[in-house]
Amino acid sequence: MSYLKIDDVSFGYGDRKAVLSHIDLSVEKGSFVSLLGPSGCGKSTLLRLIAGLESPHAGSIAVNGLPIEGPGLDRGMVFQDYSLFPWMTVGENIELGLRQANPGKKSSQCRELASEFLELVNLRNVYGSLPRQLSGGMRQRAAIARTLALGSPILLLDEPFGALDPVNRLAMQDLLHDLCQHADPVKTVVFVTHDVEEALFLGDRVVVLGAASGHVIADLPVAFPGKRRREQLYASDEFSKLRNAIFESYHRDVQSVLEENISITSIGQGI
Amino acid sequence: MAPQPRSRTLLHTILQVVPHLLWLALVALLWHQAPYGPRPMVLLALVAAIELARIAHAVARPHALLRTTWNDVAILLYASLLAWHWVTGYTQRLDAMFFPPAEEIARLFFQELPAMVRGAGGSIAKLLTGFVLALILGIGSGVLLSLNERLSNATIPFAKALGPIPPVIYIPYAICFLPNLVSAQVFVIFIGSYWPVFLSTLSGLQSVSRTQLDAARTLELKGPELVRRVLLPGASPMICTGALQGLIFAFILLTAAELLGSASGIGWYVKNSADFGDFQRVLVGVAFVTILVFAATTATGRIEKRLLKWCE
Repeated sequence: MSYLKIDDVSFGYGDRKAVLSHIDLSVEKGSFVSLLGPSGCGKSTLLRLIAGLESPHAGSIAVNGLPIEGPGLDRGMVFQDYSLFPWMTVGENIELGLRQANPGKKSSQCRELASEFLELVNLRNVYGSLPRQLSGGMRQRAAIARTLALGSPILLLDEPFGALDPVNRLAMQDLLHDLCQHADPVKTVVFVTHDVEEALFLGDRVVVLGAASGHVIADLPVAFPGKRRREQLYASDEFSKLRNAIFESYHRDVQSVLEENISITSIGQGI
Repeated sequence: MAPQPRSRTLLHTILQVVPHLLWLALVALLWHQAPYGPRPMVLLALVAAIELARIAHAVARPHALLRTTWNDVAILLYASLLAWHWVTGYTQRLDAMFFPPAEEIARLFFQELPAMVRGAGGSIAKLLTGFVLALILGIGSGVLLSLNERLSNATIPFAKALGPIPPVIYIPYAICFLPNLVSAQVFVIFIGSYWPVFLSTLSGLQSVSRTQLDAARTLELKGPELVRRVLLPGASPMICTGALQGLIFAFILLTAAELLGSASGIGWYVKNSADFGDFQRVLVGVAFVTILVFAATTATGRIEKRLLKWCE
């Protein structure tokens, strides 16, 4: 049985047309799924549904066989824009996560553990700093540390590096890759992005959502052996084959909708 | 610091000299007996004391920005005193009843000071009681309402309609329903500062970003913890603005509240003097209230700065 199961889920905001229609997805424990798609395809919405921040209009989502009802500490989430609480120091933000996950833990212990989590994401000497004193990359590292501090078996990342400059972005991808490789117990990750290379570099499976249809339009296993080195990876045939397959699926998606909507009416009709 | 253009540094130097020049002009003018009004001895002493304090301050804390501010404040202060003394002492364009010489106000101020300080104690107690009640109930009711969407949708239109009603309207009702005079006075002050605090709490809570609320939900923050750790801090910049507004309203309403049959207090002092056409005492009272307001807003400014250290 799959660990995270999305079963025939549909969703739309307000009265507008459905953002997601009849999505089925099974995620195995310990896998890293990249959820890819152009802007507006509903990939962030799907992640919010898994997080329990929204409820599906139809269908169900279950973790370990249990249907989810609202947000929970078993699913830690990292948002695209800075979700650290700016009125707390970086350390207090992490401590808050720790205390929520381990009620009754001594505050001295929490402080020590929080420093360790900051160290884990390569942040030192920022414990007492306010988020506004940190760069964008550092804030996102701290946000990841707070989510890790929850100890959730499932990590949901909503374009976490979308607002970063290219250099920081690559560094953060490497960091996330290492963190997930060495996580104990294993983490199941759903990572939303619109960057094809990022999706392929990080994921061991890429699920593509179509903007036009609101369906899963491609579901590709990504199997690159050994430790991923970006230069070798980008040059490999396997990588370009997968990239082409993804672009082709985008293309087909747009085509299919165009064909459906084409209708010819004579001039003057309807006036 | 980046080098400043030449013209700006020149202007800066000139502005630094201006208060000293104004001060000299003021002293020279005060030194002689003006055609009208008393000999300005108290004013002279006061102006000398201000300049001395300014120099002592600049020497003790040579903080450039603060020094510039005090410098500019001194320009405004000396220029207004100069104008006031000139108009009342050397011309008779203005009616001396409504615009008494600065010297008379200065003398009367020190003469009345002990009585005003004694009267102010009760006034400040009433003001603080009303204001602190407004803070507690304003923030409390704002938070409670925003936790329940249906309740807030139903009640906010009423709040918006009731807010602009001048608090003096409530005076007869306060007298009628409240057990004694002091509680009625406190109530008027309370109601005046309640609305700005309450309405700013509501809009402050609405301004908390969706991402932060979502983050709080994924962290399973609920109830009092959610309020204490996310909602109140997130709303605090706007609440601070509303609280300062409320404090100013409280001062304005102090006078109105002390109309209610009391025969003491700083608000009563101003109002009573105005009723008897004693505009010298009105001005003295206004000067005293101004000092109180300045002290109160400076204190709240400090608290606000500390509370909002995290804001950019």
